[in-house]
Amino acid sequence: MDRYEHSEKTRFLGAEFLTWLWFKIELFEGHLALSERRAADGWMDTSLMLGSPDNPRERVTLRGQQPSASAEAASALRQGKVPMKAALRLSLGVQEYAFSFDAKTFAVSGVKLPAVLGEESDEPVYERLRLIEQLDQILTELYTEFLNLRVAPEWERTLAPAMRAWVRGKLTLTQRQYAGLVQRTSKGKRK
Amino acid sequence: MGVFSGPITLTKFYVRGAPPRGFKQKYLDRIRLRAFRPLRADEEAGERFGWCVAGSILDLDLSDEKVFFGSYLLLGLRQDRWKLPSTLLQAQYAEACQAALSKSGREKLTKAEKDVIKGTVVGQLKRKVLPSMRMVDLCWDLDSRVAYFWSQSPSMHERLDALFGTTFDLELDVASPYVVAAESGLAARKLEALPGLEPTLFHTR
Repeated sequence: MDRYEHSEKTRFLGAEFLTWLWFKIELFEGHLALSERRAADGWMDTSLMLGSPDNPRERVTLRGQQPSASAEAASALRQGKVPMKAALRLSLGVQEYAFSFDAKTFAVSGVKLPAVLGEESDEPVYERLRLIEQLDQILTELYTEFLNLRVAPEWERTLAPAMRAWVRGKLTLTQRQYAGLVQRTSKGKRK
Repeated sequence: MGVFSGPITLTKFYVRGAPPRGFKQKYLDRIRLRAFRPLRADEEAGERFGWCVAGSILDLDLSDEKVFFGSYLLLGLRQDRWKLPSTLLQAQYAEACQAALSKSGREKLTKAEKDVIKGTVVGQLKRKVLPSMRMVDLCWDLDSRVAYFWSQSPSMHERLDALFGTTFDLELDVASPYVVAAESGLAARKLEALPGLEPTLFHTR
């Protein structure tokens, strides 16, 4: 199978990543640990689109202050719909990003970059590109954490059941238990 | 929408392969060879695309300092297309056919005659209108092999794929959950496991 075939076969991982991110944001109340002892604050923002994996036409788009916390979002999850596209906010220190993330294509749109300019750059284009790359890097780090969990036995054993309970309205995993999972599954990086 | 300012809507690509040694001048020559050429009313082409300076749709002067920014290569992909007002085109075509029929005294025109009339009417309209123009910026980080394209349109991705390939002799992989995983440094055995996974159902017990 070539890359294209692998890509088509694994498209569902985008929606699972977004579901996991939503779960993690709620579990950690927005505090997202990253590599090299950095952390970001993240939250689901003002729009959320959920769709049925089996029927692309069956979708619901929610807009408002916090659509992810709405009864409609909870109901959609319980019906088997998964997040396909979501508005997100991520802040790294004083730098805050707002953007929309498409789970199927990993594309971002409507990106609002932090207003703060770095001192080391006197060319706005370099600063703009650096900020775009930083956002990309944060998303990649989060995705890597998800992937390490996804391929590990702990996914079926512990994390997926906890996420199912969350869909039903219960948080059954503690932050500490989650951190343990991440530690056990994060080894192994290609050189 | 572009690399220098304005809204940011991006598709991420990974470039397969690396630039060759001494690539700068070679790339500049090949970029200039594929610089955008404006459409002319007397041409048959309905659309054309090519490179322009990033952020400047009218600037076709693709010089070193306008293309290379540190480790980044910045370009604009410009596409011009004739978008003739269809109601006017149909009306003028019908009028021209009627005039030709009256002149010939016949009841019907041949297909070849209609095609000639259509071509003439289209050419006349092209002289009165301007082609629609659009430009999408591309930013290629030559160190990391990542390229950001300021559009999510599949048709623009196709044009980029074609133009990038012929300009740089390199291929692009559009980001997807699998491709991002493959490029993220994930351990080989974990990457190999991905295509074998089945979707998780979160709504069941």
